[in-house]
Amino acid sequence: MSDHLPDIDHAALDALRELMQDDYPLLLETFLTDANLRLSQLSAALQSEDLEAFRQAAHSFKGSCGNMGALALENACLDGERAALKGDLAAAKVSYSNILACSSRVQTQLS
Amino acid sequence: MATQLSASALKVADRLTVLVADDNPADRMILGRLVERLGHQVYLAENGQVAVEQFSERRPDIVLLDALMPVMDGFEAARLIKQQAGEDLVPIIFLTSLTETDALVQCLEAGGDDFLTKPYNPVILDAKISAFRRMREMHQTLQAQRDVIAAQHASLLQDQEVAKIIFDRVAHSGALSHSSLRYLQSPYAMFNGDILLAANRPSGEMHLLLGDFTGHGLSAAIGAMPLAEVFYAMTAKGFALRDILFELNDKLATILPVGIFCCAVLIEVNPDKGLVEIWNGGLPDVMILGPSAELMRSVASTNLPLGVANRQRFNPQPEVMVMRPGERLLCWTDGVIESRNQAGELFGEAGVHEVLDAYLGHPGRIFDGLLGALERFHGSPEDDVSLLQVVMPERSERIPSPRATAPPSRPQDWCLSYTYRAASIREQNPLPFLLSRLLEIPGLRPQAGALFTVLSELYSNALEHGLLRLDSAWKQDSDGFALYYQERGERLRSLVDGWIRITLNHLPTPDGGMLQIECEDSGNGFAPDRACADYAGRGLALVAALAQEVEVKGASSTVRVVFSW
Repeated sequence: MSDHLPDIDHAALDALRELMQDDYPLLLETFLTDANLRLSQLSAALQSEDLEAFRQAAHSFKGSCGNMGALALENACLDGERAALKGDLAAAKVSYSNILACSSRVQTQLS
Repeated sequence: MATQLSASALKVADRLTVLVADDNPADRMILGRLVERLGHQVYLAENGQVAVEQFSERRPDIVLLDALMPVMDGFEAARLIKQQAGEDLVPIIFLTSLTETDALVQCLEAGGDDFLTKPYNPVILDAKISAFRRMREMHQTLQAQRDVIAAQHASLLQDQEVAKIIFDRVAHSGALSHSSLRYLQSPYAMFNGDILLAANRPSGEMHLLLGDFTGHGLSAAIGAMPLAEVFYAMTAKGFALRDILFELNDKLATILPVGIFCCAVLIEVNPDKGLVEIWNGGLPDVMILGPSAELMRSVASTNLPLGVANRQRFNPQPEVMVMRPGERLLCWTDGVIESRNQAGELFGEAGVHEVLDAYLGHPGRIFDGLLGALERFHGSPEDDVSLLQVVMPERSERIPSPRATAPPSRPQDWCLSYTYRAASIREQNPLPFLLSRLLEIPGLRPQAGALFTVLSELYSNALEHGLLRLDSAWKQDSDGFALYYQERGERLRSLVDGWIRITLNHLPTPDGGMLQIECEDSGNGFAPDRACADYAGRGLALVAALAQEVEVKGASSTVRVVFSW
């Protein structure tokens, strides 16, 4: 499903640039820093097989992705959240690799 | 993300302070900026605990709160913020991408007022903030109005307190503490329009007034003030019930607006003669109970309430009847009959009669029995009821008042004589006027009561037997009494001839003085021997007991009485 979604919604990003003005670079930097934090939280949660921690990290990541117009990554986070909610560790692992892939594409495009 | 980000053109008054709490730094930056662009001032917090601290410090108008946050989540923060806000309305909007119903319910339970979902839409954000601003304004208006109402209510209560103090001083308890009386009146009865007054005439009779003004509150209480003043002043000057009724009716008719009037019972209790006079204008039946609490008579309202009729239509004639020591009289305001229970049923006359039946043979327990029955019926103590019981006292042995040492005064050496002819006799009672002349003599003041009694006995003997030719023999039983007083009223109204002359002759002596009262009438005289056998005779016997000298002259149409001190 994530295949159908663009990595970045450029219209949303334009609106953000207009909104944040001089602070736009700071917003990008903040988002990217937070993204790295979420990725390490997700990884740690999988290591300790803590699906609740995984779900929370995925949920929060999903929220900011939505605001930043990172559509594919947002969707990957939603998949991860659902997998964790079902208690499906294997599916969560699949989601995680998907999140990683999307995230690295977004990072490249935003940096 | 919409493009319509109209930058702040808000009036200062519409500018709000908004607290944004979100642990995600990018989201927090975006939302903070969005709110700023709408023209509001923003405070930021990165978790629930900081949000609560910011709230205490900044007191923002609206709180935007992420649900899931570290340190303290949004639910807990919402609860603490609502607690701090107290009765101020501080809307809390939960920021969430939560879609599960349970989580949304949790937000509401924590005190959340609305939701805003990610990604944020500036138009929806603007709409929500505006809606809550209007709600806040309404809430503030409501609170302000509530405070105004509360303040006005407090001031009204204070006014009532003051009014009650004034009222209590004007309508002071009078003679209500007399041992022959029992009564129930709520402390704020005046605001229910109820009034209960008692006072003694100089000659010892007691006057009672139980009244019930239409309407409630201050208007009723205001009407009660002149009522009390007239009642006390005229009773103290010795006026009869009839004169007082005329004056009360005139006064109230003049001052009360249309639709406000006073249902009342006026009673004169005369233990010396064993008589009561009862006038009932609009109150429930007055009941007279015998020695074993059996109902002997009830006096229904046959008159218009006070303040309704003009002088020509007003009938101030009380019913006169015999009441022996130990017999009791009960009267009450509409509240007793109209008391309703939870089911809406009326206590009614039937309720009263049930109580009377239940206490047959126990007259002493009737009053409490009635109170108890009302309370049981109503389920709580009644405060809209006034209740009065009078037990006819034993005939008092009149002890001549001790002679007070008279203050030194100019010697008063005079004689005055008044002749009242038919027209005057029909319309007025000369006694209060004569008494006030006599009380100008300091030495007589301590004997005002005895003087007044003597004067009224002489005058009524002259009037009833001399001029109206009424036969005391009628007054042997209750029916005769009714006939006697009915006949007295009719004959008085049609009196065209005759006169009564009262001569007061005051002679100072070195140590005090002497007063001769002579009462003469144009009639054929009355026979004191026969009169002595009945109630009227008690009058003359009473005069003899009070004065130093009594002399019945010639054709017995002249009586001379001497006081000395």
